[in-house]
Amino acid sequence: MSGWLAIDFALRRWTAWLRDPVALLLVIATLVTAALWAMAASNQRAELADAERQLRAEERARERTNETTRSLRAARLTPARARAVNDAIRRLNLPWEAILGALNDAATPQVALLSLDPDPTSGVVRLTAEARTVDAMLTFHRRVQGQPALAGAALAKHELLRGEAGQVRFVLEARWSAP
Amino acid sequence: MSPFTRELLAIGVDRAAMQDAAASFDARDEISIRDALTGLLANARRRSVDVVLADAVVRYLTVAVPADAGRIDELKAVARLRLAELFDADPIDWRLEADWRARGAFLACAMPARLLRALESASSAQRVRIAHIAPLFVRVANETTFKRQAWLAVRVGTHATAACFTGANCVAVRSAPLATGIALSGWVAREAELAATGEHELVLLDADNPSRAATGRWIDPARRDVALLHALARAESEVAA
Repeated sequence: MSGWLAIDFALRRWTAWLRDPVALLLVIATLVTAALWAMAASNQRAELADAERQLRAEERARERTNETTRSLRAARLTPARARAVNDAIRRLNLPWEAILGALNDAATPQVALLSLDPDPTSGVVRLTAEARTVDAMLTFHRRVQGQPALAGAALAKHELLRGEAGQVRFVLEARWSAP
Repeated sequence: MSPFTRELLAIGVDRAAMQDAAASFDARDEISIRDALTGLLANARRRSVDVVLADAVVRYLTVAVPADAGRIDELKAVARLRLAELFDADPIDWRLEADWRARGAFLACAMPARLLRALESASSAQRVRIAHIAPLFVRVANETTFKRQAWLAVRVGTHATAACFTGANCVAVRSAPLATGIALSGWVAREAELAATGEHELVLLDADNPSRAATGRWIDPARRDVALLHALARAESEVAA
């Protein structure tokens, strides 16, 4: 057998170390070093997280670009097709309500509207109508000119209908105003 | 002194010594003890010292662990009761430490609480750390190798302490004044017979009998702690004479 008697009256409290200046300095130095290390590690983790976020954003942007390129290639968008698409969009964007409202206000019982042909590219609407008399045609012309939604109304052509006493068919063109 | 060896403060019944300096105190007065120790620690060359207590300063006892006790609180309560019973001492006045064990029997030791408080106060005032505080017998036991069944006895001056170890257990302890004229080995043999501890090895350290008797195995008393306490014991006996 050898010595194993665990009998010691010395302070075993951790505060006993605080009485030793060298031990106290070592403890403080260790704590400061640990704190600095923890701060550095935290900054590095934040920088790493930022870099990862940026990388993921760049990957997503690249993926979106690739998808758009693939879609365009798949659609084979020719100039003619692009024009047709634009025309369709312009037709859809026509101020139908304003044009029809203006024509409704200008209408008279002596004039019958046969067709309405808007040209979205030039912004001109072409009306084909029949009137009982030339006076009725001119009256309708003036009423259309008085509509704020339609400007520059002009008779493009007119002709007397054969076999119909005094009846006239005419074409009226006017520009519609932007809403 | 080796740079790795701590300085040693020795404390006797009414005086203490460190290096070549010594100071006496009134053991009943905590302030007197503190002042003496503060003066000695002022000469410390190291910031950390060991303290050795004379065996006459402390009280030794063995504690047999009850069958239904195993928690440290229960063991401490049993040890305090034993201390009060054996020495008619108020446990508040003593600081108890022990080689706590959950089974068998173990050695416990008590030192005066006022001495410990004075020591802590003096070390704090001098900014010296007390690394270890142990009585001489415990220091010797911890540096000695002996057989499974052994009596270890230590005498410095006119005080002797002996304990019987059986494996890890301490089954008997005696600590009492013993005149230098009485053979230490004979005293231990009588105590062993009284305690009926059976066959055992006998290991002895006697500061006053370096010639060594034939009986038993003897430990060389040329040690710093023994030398300091021996000097204190001599000074105390001269004052008493």
